[in-house]
Amino acid sequence: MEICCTRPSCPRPVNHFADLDDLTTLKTIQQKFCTTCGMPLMLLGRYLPVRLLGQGGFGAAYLARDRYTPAMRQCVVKQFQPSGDLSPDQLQLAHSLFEREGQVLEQLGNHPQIPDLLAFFDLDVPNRNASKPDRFFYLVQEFIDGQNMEEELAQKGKFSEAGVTELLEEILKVLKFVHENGSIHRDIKPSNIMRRRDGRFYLLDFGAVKQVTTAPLAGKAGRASTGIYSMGFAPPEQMQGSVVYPATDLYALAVTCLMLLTAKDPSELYDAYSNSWKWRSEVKVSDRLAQVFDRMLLPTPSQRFQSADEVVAALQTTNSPPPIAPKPAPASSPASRPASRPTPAPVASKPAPAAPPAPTAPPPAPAPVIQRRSFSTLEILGGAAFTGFEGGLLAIALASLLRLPSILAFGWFWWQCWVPWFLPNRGAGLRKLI
Amino acid sequence: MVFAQSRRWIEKVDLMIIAAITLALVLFVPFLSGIVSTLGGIGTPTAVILLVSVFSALIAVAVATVFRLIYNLLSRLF
Repeated sequence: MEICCTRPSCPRPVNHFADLDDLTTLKTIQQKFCTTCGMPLMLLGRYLPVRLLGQGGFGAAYLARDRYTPAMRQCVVKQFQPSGDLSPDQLQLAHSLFEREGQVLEQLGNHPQIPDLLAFFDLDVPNRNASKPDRFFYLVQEFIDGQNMEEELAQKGKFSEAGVTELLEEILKVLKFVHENGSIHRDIKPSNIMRRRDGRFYLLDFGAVKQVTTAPLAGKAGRASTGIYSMGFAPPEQMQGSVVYPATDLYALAVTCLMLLTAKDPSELYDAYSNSWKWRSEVKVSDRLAQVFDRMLLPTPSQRFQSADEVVAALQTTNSPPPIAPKPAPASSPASRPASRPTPAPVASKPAPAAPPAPTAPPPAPAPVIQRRSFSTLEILGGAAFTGFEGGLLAIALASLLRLPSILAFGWFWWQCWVPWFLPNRGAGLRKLI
Repeated sequence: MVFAQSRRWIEKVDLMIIAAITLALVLFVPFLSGIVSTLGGIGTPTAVILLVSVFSALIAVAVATVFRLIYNLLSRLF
C-alpha cells in the first residue's frame, strides 16, 4: 500500500508499505512514519493520505482512507499549506479563512449537496532540523466521487440548455441553503461544482466563504471582501474589495452557466469596451433563461435577483419576462437575521493587506478519481502465472495450427541422430555405416 | 490479454475461467494438439500439455518477480 507524506518539504512523499496490504495489519498497527522525513503518516492515527489530488495557493488536498470505518471510507484531507511568500498579515488572513471553511462546513455540511466535515485538527510534528516542532493544519471532508464541471466541459464539450438549467436549479437550491444560513460562498466557478457519479450536484470549496451573520454593522449585507476571488467570475463589487451580497454568488453562478453553455472563457464573453456581457451571439437559449442570465449578470448588485428563490421563481414563470426595474437594496435582510455567531470581528474583516485585491488561488478543489487501483504483489504474480499458462497453451495450439512442426521435427530428427553418439556403444552404429 | 489484465477488464475468477477453457480446448481438440504427438516418446500427450503449460507459468512468475524486484529497487533509488 502507498501512503503519501503530508509534510510540504518532504523530498520523497510517496511511501510503500508491503505489510499494509494485509487488512488486519492495516487496521491494528499503531502508526507509520515517512521513511524520508519521519512525518507520522496516519493522521490522528486514522486518516491515511493515499494520493495528492491537487495543490493550490493555500494548501494541498489528498485523497485519503479512513481506516476506522469498515469499508475504509474515502475522504479528502485538506492541508493548510500557504505558499512561502506571504507576509504575517496575509498568513494570518489565510489561516483564518481555513478555519472559517472548517466552521462553515460543520454548519452547512448536513445539506445533501455539500460535503460533510469529518474532522478538523492541528498536528504538532517534531522537526529533525529545528528545535521547534512544525505545526500543520488539517481539514477532513467527505469525498465526492465524480467530475467537476470544468473537467466535464473539457471532456464532453458544451452543455445543452437542459443540462445547464438542471445545474442552475440544483445549485440554486444549495445557494438558498447557504445564504439562509448566513454565508456567502464567493468563489463559484465550474471547478467548484461537482457532479457525483450518481448525477447529484455538489457545491465544493468553502475556502473563500463569508459569514454575514458575524457582521455587527446594521444595514449592510456583507463586509469588506478579502480579495480572494476567481478572475472573470467575480462581479464588480467583489473585485473592488467592497461588500459582498447573496447576489454576488448569483452573478458568479450565471457566469459559470454561460461558460458551460458556450465553452468559452469568461474573458471572451465579456466586452470590456461596453462593460457588458456579450454572450447571446454565442449560444441560442430560450428567452426566459436568457433574461434570467441577463438579470443575474447586471453590474449593480441591487438590480440583480436578491435571492436564489427569486431566480427559481423567475425560471419557473412561463409567461412574463422578469422586470429589470431596480429593487430596493437588500438593506434589511441580513441585519434582521439573528446573529447566531456573536464572535468578535474576525481577522478577515480587514481588507486584504494588498491594496489592490490581487486574485489569489483558492484552495484546491478535490479532483475526481478516475484512476485504477495499483496491483498488489500477489495480483501481479497471479497475473503472470495466468499469462505464462496461457502462453504455453497458445504456443502448443499455434504450433499445431500453423503446421510448424517441421522445425520441431527437425529438432527431433537431430536428437535421434545424435543421441546414439553419446551412448556407450556409439562406435557401433558408425562402424556399421562404414 | 496482458492489456486486458492491466486495465482490470479481466480479474481473478475470469482468469481461472479463461485458463480452464483454453486448457480444455487444447486437450480435447486434437487439431490443436497435433504437435504433441509428433514429439512422441516423452509421455502421454495430456501430460506433455500440462507440463509445458505449468512450466511456462512458473517461468513467467519468475520473470515477473525479478522485474518487480528490479523495479522496486530502481524506484527506491530515484
